[in-house]
Amino acid sequence: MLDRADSREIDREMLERFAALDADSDQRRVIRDALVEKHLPLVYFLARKFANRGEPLDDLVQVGTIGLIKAIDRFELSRGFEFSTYASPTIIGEIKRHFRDKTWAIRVPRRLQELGAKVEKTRSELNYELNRSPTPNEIATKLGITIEDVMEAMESQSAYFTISLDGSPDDDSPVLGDSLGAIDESLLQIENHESLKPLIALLDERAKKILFLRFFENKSQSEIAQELELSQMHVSRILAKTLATLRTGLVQD
Amino acid sequence: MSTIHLIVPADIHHVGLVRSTAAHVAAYADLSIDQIADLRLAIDEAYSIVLGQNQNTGEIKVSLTRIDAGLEVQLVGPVGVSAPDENSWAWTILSALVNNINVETSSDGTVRITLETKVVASA
Repeated sequence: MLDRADSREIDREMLERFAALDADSDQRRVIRDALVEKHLPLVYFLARKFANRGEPLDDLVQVGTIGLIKAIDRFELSRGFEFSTYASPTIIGEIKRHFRDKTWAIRVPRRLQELGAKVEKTRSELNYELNRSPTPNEIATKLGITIEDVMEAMESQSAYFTISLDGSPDDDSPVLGDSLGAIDESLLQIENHESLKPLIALLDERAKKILFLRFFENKSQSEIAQELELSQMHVSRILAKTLATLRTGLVQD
Repeated sequence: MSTIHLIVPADIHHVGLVRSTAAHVAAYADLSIDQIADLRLAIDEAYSIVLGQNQNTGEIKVSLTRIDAGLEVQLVGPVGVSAPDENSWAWTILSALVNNINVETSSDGTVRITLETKVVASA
């Protein structure tokens, strides 16, 4: 087992060699990997502090590791800091950014987050059972809560993902498949809506697909949610945002 | 049947209030979650039609009436807004989101949009 001073000395040597090497040299990559591996426990340690906030620890470790790599790349030996002192804020910064981007856009009390998840689960169960979208009253009855609770929970759910929706089209939705070309065609064949074409062309693929399924295939929001493996609230938000974009674009025409 | 009235300043900031109010009334009218989600989108669309280009002048009057078959939402905008025609995109959207739409321009120059969503669930 290394003592703290030894460990610090090894860091210093590795970082010195790292800094001296060409940016694209293989050796530099090897040292970087070794540095990442050596400091992974620090990432785990910091990620665990955020582990009870509803995001999987693995995800937090993954984004924390990105922070670690950034810290390795940016570290300047001459400043005289200990590496772990320097790296911690960068790692925490990445983890916090993950929460900012990927999850609750506004602070929602834990009680409501949990209720929201329960309501969503019950909605989808009843949807299957009844073979139609349930009413808030049906969900309330099943959960033994009030309609007011159901509505409050659903509104709190809509705070989830607000920011990530504004981001680029996601890279993790293979469900969109190859049918997008065909969708473009039929969307573009809308008679009377000539001025929409350029606006629709600007939408990201997922928004286009949802727009098409809702307004041209006449599928319900729940059906679309199921098909694209999103929550119904998520589909709702994407639709609202898409329609707003088209509306603004049409007015400016 | 009882009607809920809501009058808001004619600006885009109040669309959220109208949307949420309509969603709550719709919940008590036994519309389904999907219908409520669609109604929210329809309110966005209708609100922006009756608001027109003249932001911050006048008010938008909203009335929500529980009818036997479901919920009727009426929006009346300030004077001087033109009604959408049936071939417009807004109309296409609205007709996919609610069961019935009616648009009329009153003699005083206001546009009135009536949206109706019918209950599908057997309560």
